[in-house]
Amino acid sequence: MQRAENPSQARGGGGLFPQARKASRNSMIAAAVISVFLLLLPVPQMLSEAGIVRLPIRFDQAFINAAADTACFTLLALGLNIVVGYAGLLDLGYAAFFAIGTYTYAILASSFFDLHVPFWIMLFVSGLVTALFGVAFGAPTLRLRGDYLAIVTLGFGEIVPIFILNLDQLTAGTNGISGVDKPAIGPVIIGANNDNISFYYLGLALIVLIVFFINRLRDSRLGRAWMAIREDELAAATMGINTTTTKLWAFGLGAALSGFAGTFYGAHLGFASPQQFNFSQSVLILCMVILGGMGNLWGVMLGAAVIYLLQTVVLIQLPTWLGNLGKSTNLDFLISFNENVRLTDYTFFIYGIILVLFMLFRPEGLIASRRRKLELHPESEKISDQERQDLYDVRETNQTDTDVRGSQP
Amino acid sequence: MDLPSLAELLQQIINGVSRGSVYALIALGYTMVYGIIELINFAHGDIFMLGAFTALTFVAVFGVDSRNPALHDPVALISVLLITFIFTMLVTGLLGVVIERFAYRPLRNAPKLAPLISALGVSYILQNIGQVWKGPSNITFPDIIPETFIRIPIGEQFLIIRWKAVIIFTISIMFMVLLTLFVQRTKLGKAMRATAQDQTTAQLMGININRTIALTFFIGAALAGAGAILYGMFIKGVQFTVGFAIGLKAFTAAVLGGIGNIPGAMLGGFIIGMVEAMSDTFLETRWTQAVVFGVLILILVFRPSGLLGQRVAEKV
Amino acid sequence: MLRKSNKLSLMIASLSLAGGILLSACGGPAASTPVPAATTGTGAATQPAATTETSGGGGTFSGDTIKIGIDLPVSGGDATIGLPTRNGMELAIRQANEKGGVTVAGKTYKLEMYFLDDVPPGGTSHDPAQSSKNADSFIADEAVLVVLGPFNSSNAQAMMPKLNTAGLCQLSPSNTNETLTKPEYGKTADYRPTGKVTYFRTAATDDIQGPASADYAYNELKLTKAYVLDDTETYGKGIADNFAKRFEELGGTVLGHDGVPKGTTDFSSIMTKVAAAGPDVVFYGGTSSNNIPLARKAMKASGLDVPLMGGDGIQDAEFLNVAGEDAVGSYSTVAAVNVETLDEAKQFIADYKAAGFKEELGAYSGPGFEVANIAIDAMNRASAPTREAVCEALRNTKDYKGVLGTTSFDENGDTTNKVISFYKADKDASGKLAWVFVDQIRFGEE
Repeated sequence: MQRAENPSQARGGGGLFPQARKASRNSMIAAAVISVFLLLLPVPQMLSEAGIVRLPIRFDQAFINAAADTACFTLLALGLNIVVGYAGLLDLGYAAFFAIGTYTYAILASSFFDLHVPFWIMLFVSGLVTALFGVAFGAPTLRLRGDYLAIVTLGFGEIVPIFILNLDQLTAGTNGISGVDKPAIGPVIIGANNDNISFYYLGLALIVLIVFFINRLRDSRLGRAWMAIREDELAAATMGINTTTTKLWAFGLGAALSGFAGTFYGAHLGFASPQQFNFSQSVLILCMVILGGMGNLWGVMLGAAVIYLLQTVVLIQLPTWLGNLGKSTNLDFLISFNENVRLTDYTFFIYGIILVLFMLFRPEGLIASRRRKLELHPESEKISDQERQDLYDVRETNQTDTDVRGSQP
Repeated sequence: MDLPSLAELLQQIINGVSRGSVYALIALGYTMVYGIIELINFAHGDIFMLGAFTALTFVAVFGVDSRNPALHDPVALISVLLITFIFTMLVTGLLGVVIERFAYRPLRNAPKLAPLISALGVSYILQNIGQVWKGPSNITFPDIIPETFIRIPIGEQFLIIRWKAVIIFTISIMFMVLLTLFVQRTKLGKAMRATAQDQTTAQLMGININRTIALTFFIGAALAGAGAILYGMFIKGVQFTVGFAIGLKAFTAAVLGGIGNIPGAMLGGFIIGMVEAMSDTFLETRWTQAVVFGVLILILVFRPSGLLGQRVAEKV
Repeated sequence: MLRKSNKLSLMIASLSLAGGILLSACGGPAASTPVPAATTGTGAATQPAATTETSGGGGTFSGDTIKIGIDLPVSGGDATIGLPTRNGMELAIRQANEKGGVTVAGKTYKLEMYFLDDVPPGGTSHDPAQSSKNADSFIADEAVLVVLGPFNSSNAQAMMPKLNTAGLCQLSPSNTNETLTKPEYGKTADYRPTGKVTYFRTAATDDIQGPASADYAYNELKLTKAYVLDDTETYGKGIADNFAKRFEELGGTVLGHDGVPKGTTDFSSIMTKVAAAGPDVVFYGGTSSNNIPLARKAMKASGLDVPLMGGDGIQDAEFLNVAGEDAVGSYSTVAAVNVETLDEAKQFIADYKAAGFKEELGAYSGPGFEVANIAIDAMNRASAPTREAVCEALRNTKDYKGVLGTTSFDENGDTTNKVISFYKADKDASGKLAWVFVDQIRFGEE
């Protein structure tokens, strides 16, 4: 299971602590800057809608719409991170829980059955329902190892949308459930009149709560047990950790987060359809976790934002942007390129290239988890820091593959 | 619901076996790649798709069609088939090697899940190439072998066996036997097995790991190419999205049989083909996919390493 | 160390969040002002041609290019059907520009396509959430006076409330789900928050096409035992359900009804089962892109030599190309008078071929061309270059003659064109495979 980490990362020099302290100060500043940025993000749009300013650049509801959904996918990525990043269980069917969460909300809070349970209650109901599904599904399958578990979760991820599609009485089948309720605070309805800004803030608030919760959880007894299992299940069991219960907690809590996210998603879109929760969605969330940096909260959140915005804003709008750029700068080659090459036909290609290049250049993710990095050294029990350093030096000077990869389990 | 008649049931078994043969061939590629570098190669299905496109382009260039009078001669037919197979398998095999070289090899020492994402990226790239190359619609796959049937009367009904089904079954069994012999009996096969077990030690034994892994990719992808021709002949139409759906089934088959195990992948392929055919018969088609994965989950719950997979001793 | 920093950043985050909520509370009322007026500032920036005038209020815009927003699925599995549809729309816009553009209230404008895909890269098919974002993009760009699309009814469900609130009209070439427009199904309040009709479509709804096929099969072709299949999508299932219902009402027997998920390519076992049931017709609700031509081939290979019937989703070149000789004996419908005889349709087919698109003419290329032309026609009739005026003109569309015959919109935005034409796949006079017109019936209450 283990792989050596990227040499350049290990070469930071010195012991762990000075580096960590420095990084923590940096990360504090970064976090402050980012939170201020996130909070002010919709302000230009508000001002422009109020007619106070004219914006020099395009900054519209579509972007805030994507930003609000980014919040939803951040929640999903955080949830999957518990399963994959902390407990080390590869889950290829996470979208199934997302689907269950969204549909729980859509069924209980829409005109479909004319049930209108308030959003705030449904957040917890959906969380509970998905957690129960997570535990029920996990109980018989969690004794599977590694990729066998992955394929079983993949199977679960395929089965759930089929049930949603075929249980017409309960889920409206292929037509989907429309007219899903928006959340309300007293008489004020969040997101009335197409307003995405309040949804964006709602999403931010949810993220802050969840991050706080996960942060505490990670350092708790349970969180430490997860990481112990991820590193060595046998050793963890020997230390007295009940591996089954611990894994079930990971599955249940991870699933619960997708319940929150699903509720938010259903409310924001106002619609639930069975086509939204297929394998590609599971894979998308997994990409966010891995590309961001498995096991690192900030990395995972950054990964979610980067991938989701890349997918739904940048790549979708790219052809239009290029065309506009060509026109405003009068660059003939841009205009003719845009007319002759229909860039919309190549979005998958571009997306694929970005994923591959990204992995080639930053295989450990945008922000790698420091702890995980330390934990994931090969044969770390035997090799000291200095020795490992030497190994990397050898590898760097001698480019042939002196493979120091760990033995296969 | 009426119970199916004997003829119908036998017919469905034949359908299941011929469908399973294609899954089995593709599953071999998954299982080999997984066995050696523990990577779920998401791009494998798309290599399969490009293989089908390659084959039909190749065949069209040479004007091969069952209506071509030259092909009524069995010798000519077999040689055309042989050339098509060799050409397509070479192309897909090389494609597999190139992908391994540029997208997976640099990540061999990276965190375990990094190659998974890279494989996904490659899958998207290949899918887009297929779309731009052949357009988004289904394309007809020419009948290289004329469509003929064997009709066996059972009671008042007929059992219809397509000659193509017989050919597909024979060819896939043949490939499996060849592959098993290769892995078990040759020196290169031994190198592959050694690399799969422990790369570092294999390297110490003087095995060129890079070459061995590249060879594995070549064989796996070439088999996908062979599967693509069989699929094309049998289904008679190919679309650029087909890789994903077939790939998923084939991967499931590989896991079901015990991933890394060659007869297991074949067995898994046949079982999935059969489960599908039976589910179509006794249940409704809209539930078939759920039944397949339900069976998979059940089997894995009771046999956690797949049907033929060995229980690998835990690292202590 | 890490924990401490996280705590601190969390504190900062939550503090600033509190501030943000206050901010958003202030911003709330502003955000909910009517969008056309509100977006005056934003669109002009992307509009290099826009004049320097800043006081153009009331949703009028001041460029000399009108944009037509288009939302269709053109990647992944949906590219098959989305691309030919877009080509039809593109052709209409191109032709209008060649004639000089549109003239609204005495001023001539060039037309521009503002195209957005509703399949996010990496996805497998149309995503309603993406359509929702695209709707916001169209709304924000004040030069967009009308939206074409979406292709799928589920995406329409996500777009309709947004566009309706913004007063931006849309025309779909292909949505057939009857609940989108007809108040009797009780969903329209969700889709039309303002109560005004801003959604129009040229496709006949499932509750017209499906039953018409049943009538034709039972009454004209004298077929009594049907096996019904659908591709589990909104269109396919809707039309198949309606066919089955009507067929049984007429006295026919439905031997079985099964959904075949899209992506299925091996139809051998399904067709073996269907053949064993012994139907004299197979009705298949769905689109060619969901492999119905392959199902037709598998029917023949299973020795099942009975007619296959479908809706307008299989009335395309793809069905004939892929099914080849096996296509002979299939029936399809089109919710319009026989388009082959219309000069407009012949001209369109010729123009499409001449335009040099990579993709062949699809079942919805014609409707795509038609909705674009109806929109252009409405702009020419509009009293001002505003969304409101274009909507008004669209509502007044009366007897528009185009490739689908004569189109008017009823009070729900549905086409009044309720003539269903039947086509049979057969060799035409020149010996080429084609959809040959066989009959037409007028359907509906009147």
